[in-house]
Amino acid sequence: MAIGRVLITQREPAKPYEFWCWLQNDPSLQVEVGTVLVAEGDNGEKALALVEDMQSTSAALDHLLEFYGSGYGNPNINPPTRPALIRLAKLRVLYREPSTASPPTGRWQVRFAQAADVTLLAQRIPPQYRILVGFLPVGSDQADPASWLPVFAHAQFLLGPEGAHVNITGATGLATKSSYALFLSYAVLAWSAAVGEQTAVVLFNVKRRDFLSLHGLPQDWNTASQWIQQWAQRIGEPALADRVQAMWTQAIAQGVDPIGLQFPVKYFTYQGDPDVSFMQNPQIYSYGFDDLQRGDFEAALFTAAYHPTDPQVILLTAYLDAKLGQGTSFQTMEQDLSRQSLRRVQGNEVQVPGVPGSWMIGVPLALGRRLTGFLSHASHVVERNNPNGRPFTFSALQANGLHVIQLYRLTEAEKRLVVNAVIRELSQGLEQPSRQINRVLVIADELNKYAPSGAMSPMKEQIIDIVARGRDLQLTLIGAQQFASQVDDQVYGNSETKVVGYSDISEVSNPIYKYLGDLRDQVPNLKKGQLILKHPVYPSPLIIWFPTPLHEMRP
Amino acid sequence: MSIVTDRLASLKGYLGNAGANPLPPSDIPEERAPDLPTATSSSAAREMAHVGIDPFPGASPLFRFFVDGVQRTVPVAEVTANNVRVPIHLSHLIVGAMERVERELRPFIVQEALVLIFPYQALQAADPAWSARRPPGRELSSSGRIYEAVKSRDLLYSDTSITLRLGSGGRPGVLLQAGDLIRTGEVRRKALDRAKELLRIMEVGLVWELRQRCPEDWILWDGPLAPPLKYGRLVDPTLQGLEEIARPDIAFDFLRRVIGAVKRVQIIPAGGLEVALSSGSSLVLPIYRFGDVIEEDDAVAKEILSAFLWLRPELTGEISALWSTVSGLARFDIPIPAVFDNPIMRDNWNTLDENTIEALLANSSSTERQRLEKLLQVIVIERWPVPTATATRMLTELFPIAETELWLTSQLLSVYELRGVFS
Repeated sequence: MAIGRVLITQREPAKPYEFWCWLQNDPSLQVEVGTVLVAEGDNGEKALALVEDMQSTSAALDHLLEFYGSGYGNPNINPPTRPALIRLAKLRVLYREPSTASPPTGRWQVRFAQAADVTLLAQRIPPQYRILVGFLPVGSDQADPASWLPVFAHAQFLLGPEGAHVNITGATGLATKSSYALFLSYAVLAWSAAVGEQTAVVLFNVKRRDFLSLHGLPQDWNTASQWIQQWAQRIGEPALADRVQAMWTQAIAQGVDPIGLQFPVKYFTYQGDPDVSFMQNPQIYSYGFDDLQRGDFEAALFTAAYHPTDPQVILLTAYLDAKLGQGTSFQTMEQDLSRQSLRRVQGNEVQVPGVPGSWMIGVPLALGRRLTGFLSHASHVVERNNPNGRPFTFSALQANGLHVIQLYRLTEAEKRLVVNAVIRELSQGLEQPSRQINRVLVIADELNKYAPSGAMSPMKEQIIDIVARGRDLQLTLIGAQQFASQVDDQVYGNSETKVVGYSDISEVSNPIYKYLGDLRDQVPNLKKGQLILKHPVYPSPLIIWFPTPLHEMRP
Repeated sequence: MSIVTDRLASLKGYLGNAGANPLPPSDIPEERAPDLPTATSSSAAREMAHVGIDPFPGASPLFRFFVDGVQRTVPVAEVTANNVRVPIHLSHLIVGAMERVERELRPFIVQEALVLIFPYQALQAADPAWSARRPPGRELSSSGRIYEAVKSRDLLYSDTSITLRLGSGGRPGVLLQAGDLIRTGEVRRKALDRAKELLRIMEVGLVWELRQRCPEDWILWDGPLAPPLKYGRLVDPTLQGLEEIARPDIAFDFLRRVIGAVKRVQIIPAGGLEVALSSGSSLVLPIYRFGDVIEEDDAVAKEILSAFLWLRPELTGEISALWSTVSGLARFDIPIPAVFDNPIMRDNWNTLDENTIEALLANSSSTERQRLEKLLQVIVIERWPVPTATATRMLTELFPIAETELWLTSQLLSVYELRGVFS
């Protein structure tokens, strides 16, 4: 049933990818920003479109007329005729049939999208490449799973090789970045299992217990339903239960069943982690001198705020060339760089034990001070006295499993060391000709700490390298942060799929969000569980929903 | 609108065969939707009463229907007869009624006509070849049944060589002869006048249709009520009795639930109107009875009482574009049967003595006076909201009428679409 028609006026000309429509004068008509509508021409033309903006207007020219029109500013009069209220909706085209880059050619009728219309969206993606990324609401009954139509991403654009990487932006706590990253992980693993891929998901747990207790899923979906009901009551929003339940039901129908698929969960944490009780059989990780490579040392020792001099970098390289694999420990390195160990050659030139060449005395001392500083802040993850610790290894990855690496409560230096070492290990592992895993998904929150905009750092160089080569390596980075404006342009730009949750208007006014169009204004109004998705397969961003992860609802 | 498109295609064929040449597209402002000129003339009139009404009366809305008509008439082609180029006009006429339901307006009836207007007989006289070029479809002429022809959705044309109304000999008068064709301005003027006449005739037909379907519901009609009384026969033979009130019963039925809203007053009484412009706690409406007076776009008649109302005095301080002292005045045409609405008077209401009318309206306890006051109250409550319009219309036009006009105007073919008949 038609609910409006396409507008074609001088003020509101229709364009190929966006146009306005008016809606029938019926207050009960539930159209809002994010609703999907269909405009249909007389000759079978069809445009599936997202409501990007809405306006209510009337024939009244301005506030003066409204004021005068109410008995010259009398709010108590009740005029016999109520001026017509005209609701307008700005539509952003998602799919066009026949495929053309031309605007509507007439005042086409507009109606609500139905399941068959939304499935047109998926037609762009061959079935074997469809990865569930969220849902579009198309009905008024939120408790009906049929009201939540699946939105798919194209695996080759989400994971590579056509494109790769996902970036999620949103305010902490409100945008549910981690929850969405986890939902996406489940969807990728479900797809991977279905198509016979060997995929592993590695999740860095950077704050609180976001990714802890992932093993604690309900036994079955009946129990899950009870959890959902109790959780909704607990948070004071009982109406949420039906919505979450309906979306999970639809997710299961699309093959994303975290309970049924029983994805294995492995935890890796550091010695002394007070949250260890929230993990099941955690493996303790640590790094000794011989477990690391040059990039790891640089990431640990040098930051954007602390730039080493060229002689320091040369000395570090020379030292590592000479000592790596030789049973050296951090303690030994600290001693080698101390004043007592240096052997004066001439003037201010000194030699470092076991390292060829000579150095101005300030160089090893400065590097030593930097190392001492780092070690004093890295006691949780560094084996100071032993050459080797128990590093995270590629061989620990389990096919279609979730691997949580605990970083919460580590110092910034420790996080840098671990993140760099893990990513390096993953990329090297994926380059091995014979491997048990052929695709890895890395979830990293607070990406702005590792790849901030502005000055370069060794850590950032590694991230940039990964996002540049990742789609060929089949290493996909799902990065998240509060403010995308604080993330390096290359890293952000290389993320072909972008997701935005609730954020402050001052953040989304940054030009990097221009691709959102008028949806940018909606970002500060997004609800929990609601995100804007920009994926290369779709010409316009979509407002999608996703269900709350089950482990978060554990009683 | 598709039927109009179909008819445009048929007209194109006719004009092509008649050797007509397309006119270059030009947007002549006065031919878009002719508006009324600002002019006033004073006429002798007798004040029958003046009534004070609270600016915010507590009355409930009375009017269910709001009637208006819009038209666009453009020269679309020209033909040559004896070396004289004669313009051919195409007029798109739309009349309609909106219904008010629970304070909201919604379309109720609409009728439209696409009429080719040109001096056919004069062309035949100038060039006999035109005898074989009879336009397609039905002619809207003095023979009447015009509303029926409009509703038939046939192709329509009208000959401006002759009048629509019958002369004293029972035959139509001559408006343009062969020799007049060289007076292009006059040919165009006659075409524009014909379009206005046809629009008024269609409005009468539409009101009559409403009368048949909803005889007890009140209609607020845009414009003066006197002109329709001239066109009854042309609308439908049943309404022949409207003309000169030849059939008081028919006129009674037609007029007893209709009020005319005149937003551009051209005819005012020779004196006494100042009372309507007085400022005070009440709105004062003087009620006049004129004789039969016709101005270009206004008319009054003795069967209709004229109530003058300074509609929105609150706005005059804000709107400086006053064109004259009376530009804030609206006139409401109240037919005598609307006030003297008694079945006993159905056959003789038009014979009421003027003194009797005045006496009854002056008597505050009379039914007629109370009915008049009630009518004036329901008119006053229509003052709000204010329509979006030109400054003068904001002062004098009622919102439902403006909305009806907006609805109808939105359906008019553009100048370019009309000219498209030849492209």
